Amino acid sequence: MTPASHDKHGSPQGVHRHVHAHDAEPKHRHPHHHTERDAPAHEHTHGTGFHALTYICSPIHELDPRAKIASALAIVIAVVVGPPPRAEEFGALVALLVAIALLARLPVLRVLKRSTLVIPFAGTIALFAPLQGDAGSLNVTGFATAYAGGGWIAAWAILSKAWLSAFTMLILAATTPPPQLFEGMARLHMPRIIIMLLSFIFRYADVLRAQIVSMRRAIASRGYALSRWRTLKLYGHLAGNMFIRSYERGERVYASMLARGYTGVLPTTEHLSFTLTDVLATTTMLLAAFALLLY
Amino acid sequence: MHIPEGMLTQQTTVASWIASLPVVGYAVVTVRKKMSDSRVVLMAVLAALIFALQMLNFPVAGGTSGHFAGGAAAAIILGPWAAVLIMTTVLIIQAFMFADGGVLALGANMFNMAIVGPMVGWAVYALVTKLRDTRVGRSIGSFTAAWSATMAAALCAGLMLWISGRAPFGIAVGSMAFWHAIIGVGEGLITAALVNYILSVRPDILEAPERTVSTRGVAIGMGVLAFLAAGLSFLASGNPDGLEYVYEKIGTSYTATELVSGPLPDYAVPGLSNETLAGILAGFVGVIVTGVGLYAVITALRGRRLGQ
Repeated sequence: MTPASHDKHGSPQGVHRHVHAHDAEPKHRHPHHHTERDAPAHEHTHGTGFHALTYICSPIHELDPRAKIASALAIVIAVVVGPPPRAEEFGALVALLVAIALLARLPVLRVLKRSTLVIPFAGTIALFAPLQGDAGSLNVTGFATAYAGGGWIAAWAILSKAWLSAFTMLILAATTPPPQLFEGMARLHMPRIIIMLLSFIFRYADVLRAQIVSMRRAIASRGYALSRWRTLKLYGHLAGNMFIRSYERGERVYASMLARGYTGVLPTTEHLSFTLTDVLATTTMLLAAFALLLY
Repeated sequence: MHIPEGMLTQQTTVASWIASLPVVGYAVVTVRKKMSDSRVVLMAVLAALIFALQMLNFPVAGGTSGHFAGGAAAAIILGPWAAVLIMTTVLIIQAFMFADGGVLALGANMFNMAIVGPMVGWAVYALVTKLRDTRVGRSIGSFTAAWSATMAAALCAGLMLWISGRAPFGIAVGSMAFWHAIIGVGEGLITAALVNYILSVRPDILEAPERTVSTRGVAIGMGVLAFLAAGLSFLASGNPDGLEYVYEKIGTSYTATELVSGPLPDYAVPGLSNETLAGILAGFVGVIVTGVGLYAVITALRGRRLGQ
């Protein structure tokens, strides 16, 4: 990791956030902590996965999560409820989504690549759509001739709707830091206990995943070359071991939470305010969704 | 098995939300009532573990692979209602942060993977361990529970796709049943080994207080689910959905009603025999695979008892 460079303001104590940039990375902002040592300039857990994109500074990232959730849902509903997208509709919507992604300073190709993960399953189902007209029989002519008009339009509808929705949701995911997303959901009346589970999954899934990876490495380095059935049994033991470890971790986590004054309500550092910008952005996207539906 | 957006008809989507939301709501209330703050934190960390464990891939025949889902394991360890909440949350994260499974289709995915899966898994486990509350009984119970949970969820997903007119019955239900009969064996073996391991090391975890749910309660729950499912199919086979409506409106070039029609009306005889065959085949494969799986579990446990 290269030393981080960021704007000068002395060396503040404690966890805080300010805009900074690493080499060849867009400016971003997330909670971090300055250390006494010279390098690295500050310490932080820098997600390297897809969700590192949520640290980027952009007008879209600045929006209230509720505005983004509502906008994304409006677009998805318009896509799903509407007729099979015609070429111009499809093009307009893709252009709109790409424009938002560019405005959000996202690496568009990376987001696009990730959105194609939906295609294998959706594509398989889409392939069966033309057969429906042929009363469900599985013959090659069913594909080629029997239902050549409408069947293929149904297939296109399934595939394009699945992909457009996935792309929309990925832009939401890439521009909304998970803690903000959860707080937005909480404000939209998602039950508190589910918000708590969401927060814990976000906080601990990677920690536990790292443990699983190291256990797998330990298994591999002890030269296991087992039959498939033995491997599954071993995985079961690994999972069981992880359950016990996580159970004990949970007990420690609760003790620590109590020590920090936990009263049964999960505190949040996200203070949301729905500003005029959010109202405008949401209205624009709602109008776009309506236009898509009515066109 | 995550159904993406745009696969289900609007009726199926709405009906699955109507079926899922009350169950999840009841789970929220029950868990809040039964669990202390410390148990809730434990449940939350275990939710993170279920999410992390889903990276455990295992090879399935033909170069494909399945992954551990954990619904039945969560139900066995934490009880059905906690499992419903955990799996619901995992699905919400997958839909909102990974675009894995649709957001509007979340109702359907919740129904299949967060309600039917854990509930079936818990019911089967409770039943088997009631019949035989031994170490072997618990192993067989957890294997059967995880296998049934996988199958039940897959069958529900297949049925939803079929009801929505997206694929013929044989393909939708048959292929889902076929693959998940195999994937279920992996899930079952991992779950059985997991429960067995916990029984060896920390048996107290499996005696968690909130696990005690009356079998009658779950039986009633399953009855309600079956009723809702019946309602769902009834609803779904009714009016044309938006897609179909539009076909009717915009074109005479393609025969609209056949395109995305309800499940039953227009099946011709060749298609019917085809789908029946596929269904029977899937059933056979399921029975054989379960038999082989059970045999493997029993053999392994017998070997262990002899001290091998």
